[in-house]
Amino acid sequence: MTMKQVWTIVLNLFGPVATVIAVLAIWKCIEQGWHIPRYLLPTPSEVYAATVANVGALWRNTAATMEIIVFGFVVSVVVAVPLAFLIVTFHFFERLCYPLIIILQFIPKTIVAPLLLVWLGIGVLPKSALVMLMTFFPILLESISGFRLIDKRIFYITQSMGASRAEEFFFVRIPGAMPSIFAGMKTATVYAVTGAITAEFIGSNEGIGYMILQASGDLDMPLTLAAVIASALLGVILSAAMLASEKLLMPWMEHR
Amino acid sequence: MDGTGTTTQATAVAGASIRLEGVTKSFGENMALGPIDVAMEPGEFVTVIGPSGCGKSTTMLIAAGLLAPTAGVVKVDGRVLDRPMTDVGIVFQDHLLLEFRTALSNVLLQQQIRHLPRQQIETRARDLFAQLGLNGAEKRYPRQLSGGMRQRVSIARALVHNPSILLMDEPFGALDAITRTQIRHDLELLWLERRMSVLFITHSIEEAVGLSDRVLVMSQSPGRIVEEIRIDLPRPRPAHLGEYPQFAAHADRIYSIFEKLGVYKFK
Repeated sequence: MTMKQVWTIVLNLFGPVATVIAVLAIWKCIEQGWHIPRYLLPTPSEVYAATVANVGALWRNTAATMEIIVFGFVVSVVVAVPLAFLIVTFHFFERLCYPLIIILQFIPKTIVAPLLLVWLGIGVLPKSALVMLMTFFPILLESISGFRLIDKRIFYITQSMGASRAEEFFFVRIPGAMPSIFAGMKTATVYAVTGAITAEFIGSNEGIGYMILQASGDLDMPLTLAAVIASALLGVILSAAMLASEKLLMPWMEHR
Repeated sequence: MDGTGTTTQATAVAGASIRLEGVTKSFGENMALGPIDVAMEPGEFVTVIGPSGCGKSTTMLIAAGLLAPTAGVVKVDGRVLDRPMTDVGIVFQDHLLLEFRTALSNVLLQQQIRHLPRQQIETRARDLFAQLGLNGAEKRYPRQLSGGMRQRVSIARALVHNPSILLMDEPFGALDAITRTQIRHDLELLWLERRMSVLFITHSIEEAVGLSDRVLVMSQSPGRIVEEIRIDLPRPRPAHLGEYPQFAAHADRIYSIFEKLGVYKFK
């Protein structure tokens, strides 16, 4: 590695590190300057101490939430992408599905959570169902536009090769729609975390949402904030995983 | 070798004959084309030239079996074509490459869909890349290539399976004049070597005269063939066609037909 490369890395790291230090400093100033009681706003070091003291519980609950998210998300993709394809391919299917899709889209999903709990009982199922409901539409809508975006004239070429519909699907449509499908999935990760935590607020005995609810009920602000940070990290991990699989699956794209 | 593909060595040597008999096409009430009759000999290079919107592209799609004519039939080697032709390579004005495949992999799509032997087709693809000046482009994605190179890849894709017929719809229309002249020459050399039948659609008089054995001049919509011009210039033809007095004569003839048809309104 040359000096120049090292310097570039240092410069690139400088921005984020400076921001984190600034946030911590402002936090400390507010707490000192306005004499805000500790039980409302703990110091950064207290949050750190709470994190260290509860690292086992934080990890366990984050893993539980992750499980719900992954399960709901995978089901969402598996249903939304083929449905998008059917909607784009068959006109009658579009007419069939649209009223239902629009109604479902405009029902606030968080309000459905108690219903899901009543219908599906306690456990992974109602929570994953909420994650699925919340991630379904961004994935469906982006996939639809992805399948629509494909230049139809490419099928003149594939037909002249004697391609079957299945070959067209796997060689042209799926890879062609992939960037849009991924765009939908990336938007959906944010909704996925919100959905999982909301479901845990409403009825759960584990997960990061449950932990936040418990800790804030006990007025344990350091632990509450530690759990909030954990939930943010959860989102960061999901986005990073998405970016990594994007690079792997779509080497032709310009990745930023 | 596995022979599941539609292309066999026997048909690869020379082209197929194509006949369009009394072909018309209407879109709703609108008569867009014809009736037209075209008879192409095996291995012949035929160009259709005409003003925009005269139905040239429609003619090509019908010849490819990708669009059903309203009336009339297309015959390939005497057999009526009632489905998309497969012993064919097609090049459009837009390269229509798959953005998610590298240049070489775009060409090898032919091999994958036609279930042709991989080794053999890959060797042919690499030869075509060399002939088309695409060395080093194999692993690049379409967006990393210039417009001219993309169109060259598109031509390689149309020829890698040695089809008897090559259909080209304004293939150089989106390229700059210098690239166009070079790629025209490269195509001529490939054709001289393979002798597939070529149906070439253009609105450029220079391309028509520079490439063809025969030029069919089409009128405005509904397009009909109003004149047939045999071009008997020696091959390969030079970059600057003005060297031949016959070139000027052929070009003059096409201009005067267009003027008579009212395509050109010069005062």
